Amino acid sequence: MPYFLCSSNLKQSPAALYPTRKEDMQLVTQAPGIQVDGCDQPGATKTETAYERIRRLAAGNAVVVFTAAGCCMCHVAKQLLFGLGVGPTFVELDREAAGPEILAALYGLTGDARHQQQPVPAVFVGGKFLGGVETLMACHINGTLVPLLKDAGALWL
Amino acid sequence: MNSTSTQYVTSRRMGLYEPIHQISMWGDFKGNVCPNTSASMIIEVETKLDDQSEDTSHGTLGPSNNYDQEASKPDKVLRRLAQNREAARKSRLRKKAYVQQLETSRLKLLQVEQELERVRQQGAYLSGGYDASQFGYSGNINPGIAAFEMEYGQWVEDQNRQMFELRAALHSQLAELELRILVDGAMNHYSYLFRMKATAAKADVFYLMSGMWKTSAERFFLWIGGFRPSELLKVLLPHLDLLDQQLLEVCNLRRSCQQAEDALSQGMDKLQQTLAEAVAAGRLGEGSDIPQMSNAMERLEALVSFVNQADHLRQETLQQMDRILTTRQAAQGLLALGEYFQRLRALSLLWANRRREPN
Repeated sequence: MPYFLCSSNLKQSPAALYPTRKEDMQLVTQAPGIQVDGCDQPGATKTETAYERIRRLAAGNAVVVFTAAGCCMCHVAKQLLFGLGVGPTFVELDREAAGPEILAALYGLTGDARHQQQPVPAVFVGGKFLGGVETLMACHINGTLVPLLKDAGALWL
Repeated sequence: MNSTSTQYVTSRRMGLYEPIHQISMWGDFKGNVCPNTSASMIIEVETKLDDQSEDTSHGTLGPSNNYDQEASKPDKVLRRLAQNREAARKSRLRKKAYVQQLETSRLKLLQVEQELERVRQQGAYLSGGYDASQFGYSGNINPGIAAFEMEYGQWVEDQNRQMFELRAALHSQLAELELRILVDGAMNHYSYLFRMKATAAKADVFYLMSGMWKTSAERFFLWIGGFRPSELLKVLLPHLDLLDQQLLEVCNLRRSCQQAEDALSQGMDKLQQTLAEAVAAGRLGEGSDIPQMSNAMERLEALVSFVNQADHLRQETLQQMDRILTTRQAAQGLLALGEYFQRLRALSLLWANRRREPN
């Protein structure tokens, strides 16, 4: 049985766990555009697809988690990250103007993952999609989460 | 039993032998006899006594054909006294036989109860619609749960067989490859359990959460429908022969498990809170309930995902241990784990039987 590298010197992303980031981002950028308002100001001309919005929001912080109100699994992801000393940015879809569109886009991202039926919570680390709560815990158990967080600058020491 | 002895005493004191009354009493008893040797003995004794009692009844009522040779009164009186003594002796014998039969029935009842408990603990009983009551079962048959219980019973048997094989393999110094096959087999067996549980969770998540499919001692350690990975690591650690680097990794794993468990537990607390709020929403005390239930139902759906995530955590922990350990260490670890659960199950059975000892 191949041994999985779990040393703390791991630099590259744990590709064996989920689709590579490049493929994900290709999916994101090539997806048919769902136009959403880019700004809060009514009547703004700048629009972006939901995917672009996700990418923009995800790039805004080292760790970004998309959540929904009343979703207890989102609470689990939150508590796990807090417990590690991470201060993630939470994007609550109920409060987002383009919430439903973003949710639909997230379905596309998480649909392929094993057992992953819930689009939220959707965890992004270093601007790249990590996965849901199942992937988050799996990465933590096999020791790849903490190095990933450090690489993204979400953790020091 | 009291009524019997009272009647017995009364008959003696009065010097009267009331065969018909006593026969009817034993007769009732005869109807309830179960098929074993003491029963046939009872019947034998009864028929014998029945024959003799008819003779003596003749004697009691008045001079009969058997006794017309004796003319003297004292002789008659003596004879009657002898007959009474005889009747009393026979009655004592019958009482003894009756008591023996009662004891046998009682033992049999204990055995049946024990069997029931054992079978129940193996999970082969109808289920569905559980309350907290340990001894009741609802009339509803949940086919998904019934299937799970049967499968789980088989799983435990297979588990015991695998532990036996692992033990033999470790003692006989098998080659690494063969040991590896056994280890993989044991790991797959756990994966199979988690798949079974996932299916059962869809059938009745509350059943899984209650742990009713496990034995009582196992249930004591229940955490979201199964064992707590960090606790298991704590139990296993002293029984593994680890290198320093491995020890470090296992300690890291235990800490990561603890953190993941805490996060899941807090998620469960949140779920409880939101469910309580959903159920209590609106006005309480006016008998209205329909509007809130759909909200509460949605909350309950989340419970299934919690059980799934907890099982996923267990699975991941086992796999990570497999990565950290050598094949031999993994075999030892899996054996220790299997034996630990075997002991818990044995403890449950011991405890259940201990309750039944008469004091």
